[in-house]
Amino acid sequence: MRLSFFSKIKKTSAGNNGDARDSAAAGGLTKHAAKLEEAARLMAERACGQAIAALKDIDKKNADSEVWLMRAALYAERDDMEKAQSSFQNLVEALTHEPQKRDCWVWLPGIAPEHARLWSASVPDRLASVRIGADADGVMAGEVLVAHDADITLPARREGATRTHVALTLFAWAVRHGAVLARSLAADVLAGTPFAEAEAEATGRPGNRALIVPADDEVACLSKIYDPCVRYAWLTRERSIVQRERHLQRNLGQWAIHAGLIVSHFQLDAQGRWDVLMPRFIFVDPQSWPARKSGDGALRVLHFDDHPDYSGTIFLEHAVERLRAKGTAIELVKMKRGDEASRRAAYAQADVLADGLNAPGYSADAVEAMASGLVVTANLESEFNCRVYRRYSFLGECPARSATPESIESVLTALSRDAGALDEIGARGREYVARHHSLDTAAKLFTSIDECLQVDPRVEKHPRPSLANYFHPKQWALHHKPAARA
Amino acid sequence: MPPSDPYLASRRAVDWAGNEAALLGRAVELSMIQKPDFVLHYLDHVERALIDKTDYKLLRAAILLTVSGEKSAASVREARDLFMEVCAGVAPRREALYWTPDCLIHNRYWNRAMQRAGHASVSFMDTLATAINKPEDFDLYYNDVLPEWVMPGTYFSRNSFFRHAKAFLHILEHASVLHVPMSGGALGRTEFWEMEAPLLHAAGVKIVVLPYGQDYYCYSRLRDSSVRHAMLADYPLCARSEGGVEARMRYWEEHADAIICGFMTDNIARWDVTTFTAFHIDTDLWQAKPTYNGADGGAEAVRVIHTPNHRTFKGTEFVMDAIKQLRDEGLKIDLVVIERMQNDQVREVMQTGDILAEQFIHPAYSLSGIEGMATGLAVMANLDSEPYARFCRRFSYLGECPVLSTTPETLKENLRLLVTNPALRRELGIASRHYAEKYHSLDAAAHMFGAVHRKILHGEDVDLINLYHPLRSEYNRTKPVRHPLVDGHWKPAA
Repeated sequence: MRLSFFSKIKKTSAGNNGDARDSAAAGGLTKHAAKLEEAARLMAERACGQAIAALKDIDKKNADSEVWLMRAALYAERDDMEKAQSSFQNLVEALTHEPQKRDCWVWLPGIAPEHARLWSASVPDRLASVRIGADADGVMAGEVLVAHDADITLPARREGATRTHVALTLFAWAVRHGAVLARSLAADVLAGTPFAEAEAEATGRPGNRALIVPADDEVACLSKIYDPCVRYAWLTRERSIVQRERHLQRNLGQWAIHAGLIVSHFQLDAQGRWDVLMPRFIFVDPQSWPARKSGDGALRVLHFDDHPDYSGTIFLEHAVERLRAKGTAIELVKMKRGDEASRRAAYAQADVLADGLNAPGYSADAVEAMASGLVVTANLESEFNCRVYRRYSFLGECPARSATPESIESVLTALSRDAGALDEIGARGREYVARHHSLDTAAKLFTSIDECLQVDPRVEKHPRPSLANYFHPKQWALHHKPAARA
Repeated sequence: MPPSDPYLASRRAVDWAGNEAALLGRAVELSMIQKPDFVLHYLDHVERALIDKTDYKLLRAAILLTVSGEKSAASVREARDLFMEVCAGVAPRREALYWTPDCLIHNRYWNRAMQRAGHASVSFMDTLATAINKPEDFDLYYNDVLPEWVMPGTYFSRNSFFRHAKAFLHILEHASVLHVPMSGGALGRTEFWEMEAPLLHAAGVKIVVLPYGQDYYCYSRLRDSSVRHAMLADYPLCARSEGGVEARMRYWEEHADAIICGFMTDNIARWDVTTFTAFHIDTDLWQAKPTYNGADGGAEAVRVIHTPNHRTFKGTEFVMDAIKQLRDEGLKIDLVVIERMQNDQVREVMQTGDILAEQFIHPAYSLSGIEGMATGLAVMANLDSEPYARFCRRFSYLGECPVLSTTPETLKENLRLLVTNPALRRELGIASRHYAEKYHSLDAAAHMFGAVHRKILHGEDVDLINLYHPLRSEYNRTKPVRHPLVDGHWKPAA
């Protein structure tokens, strides 16, 4: 689906696309519309000096967020960074104090578009679902995914608007409308603008409603990862990550202060804060993944080798070769991850998905594979990373077979000898996904997240409800039908 | 007086100039609504009226720091200069050991240990935590050293630089050794926290840093992820202040005369005494229970005590679950949960217990575990976390510890073991009392702090880092604690 700046589910009677008044009306701001309109026109002509002059008689006391937004964009365009930053700070201050609608679940950069679309079905009914992300040209754009009965109008993109202005406009809109601002750690709406470094604080100050879902490479602060094998794996996958170490640590630190909620990543080593503990923040529609059919020939092992050293592909190959040499009927299918259709086709032809052997945890692919009834092997050995998920989350129920470079051969041997086990583990995998990674689970979790973030720490005297033990086996069991532990 | 102060105009009838308390009160009010010009003007009048010039300077410094909206580098500099001027005027007497600032029970015990050993020692507390302590538990409070004109409940009696500076001056004048947590002493919560060590050292005061938990934990550095999770569940806000904790840790690593951090070695480059935990209690108060019963959960119930002031941290849900499972299997177990109870009541309850199920996430026994050991209970706690326990078994006294090491995963079986085995409970209970007396009594505290003070105060050649080395320490080798556990685990004879 192409992102549209002009997405509009229901037009208001007063609304007109491309009108400054419309954009301001979306945020409830019409005070200086005429002057803003003039400034925007001048900005389109790259007459930034004149555009700034058009706003000059709006003093600090009377300026609203739209004015500060325009000023920040104009000063940034003129490379007057001191004034740009000052205007941006004033924009954040204005956003902090103006009324917020909080009528949308906003998916920000870092959440994959296909996930945002799928998971929108699980967003609480009281909220619309909107995605903001970079379009094909790398410019920020918005898309209404689900509107329910709400009147959701995304800000219109002005003719000739600068990238910074577009990003700031969408950022401000997200802050005004977002009940939940779901995003990853490092992917910023303001990326590429002079304000990217301040995005955590700017998002946090107006009410701390950011839901942070860290991506794999955003928590890989190698100096903080205890297991040198995992460090090795990262160094082989993306050597440049060491250059980002300081940036990653800064991001983690900033969001630890300013986030509303942070979801844990399996690689916990560098994370000093999490509020929701789950092995992987991924949700699928289990019904849409057909169950694997039992094979009657060789054990078919599927492996995605996009990052062979990271995943430990060579150990898998070696193990399969040794098994074949011993006469075991086993077949290894290596392929690049590809799109969903190709993955579905691959799962239909396999018995086992061999997930990564080096880094701890299971991937999104593993969840899809389990939903498809495959047996999954993944590295679930790390005491540091796994124990906490078994104690306080649902990893104890996970039927994935733990495998390391040293143990993969014996794990595959056992699986190749017991076709019945494949069916049984496969069925348990489907059950596991339905219980913990389904859209139903997402719907319950998202409702709790929404309820938690509705509490405004600036206003309420009581703290936000804690979700730290949301998936705690001893507490989860009180509300959900228990499943057999693996 | 500034003519435009409407409050003053309405109170013309009051003789302001002669009423220094009123002048100060007004200055305080104005400082809180950020009217620095008025504040300083009032203070000029106060200066004439006040006898104590030191107080005036501190007050002025405090107000310069308080009016943060108008704060500038110049005003902070002026405040610092005033404060340093006052500190320079103090004549240090170095007459007592001081313990500050947090009102935690271990400060009380350490203080009492040193008093009992014949040292002049003062526990000097910032505020009183009333849930589990009584006012008489500590010798002196910060409010006790404030001048009379500071009314209770006013801004300057609560959390201001003035109050902390007054406390610091008192310490500077009287302390020979100051014992503080990683968050620092009286200046720790002020803008001038980094001046604490140089000022104390300049006065010849030595500093011993004793972290206890919140002052120390940088969550992203914790080597046990379950501990990290428990901290996040019980103290979520600390995750947001990691930068400040880390900065203080680096500061005290550099400036302390001694650091005693026990097993908490996650993010620290230095410790001076290798001990498992520096907590001590009064084993005369915590008497050993006189008798042991033969209950085995069959005909007679076994009483399990659990003390969860912080439930996730202690693993309370796992205790509840394990006991429920054992009860479902037919074992008779009474569970007594102690929370927010005064210490003297806790002592009474402990005497009635058989087992103390202390904590299963936090990788150590804590003060409550020591109290249980001193009472002669069989104690269960998590001593299985390799990064914390191993070095203390090798280089300290943990190898003698009779605590049955238990994690959430082994809780049910270990509980079953102790419930059904009264002889083992008795054996561990007696060993526990011995262990508590040897390593966690007031005499043990006097031994440890005595060694530290001999080294840092008098320069004696004391091998602090090996003070409890199992092979090198004469103290350890004397009267070893004997029990049937190996590395905290019970292995029945074949």
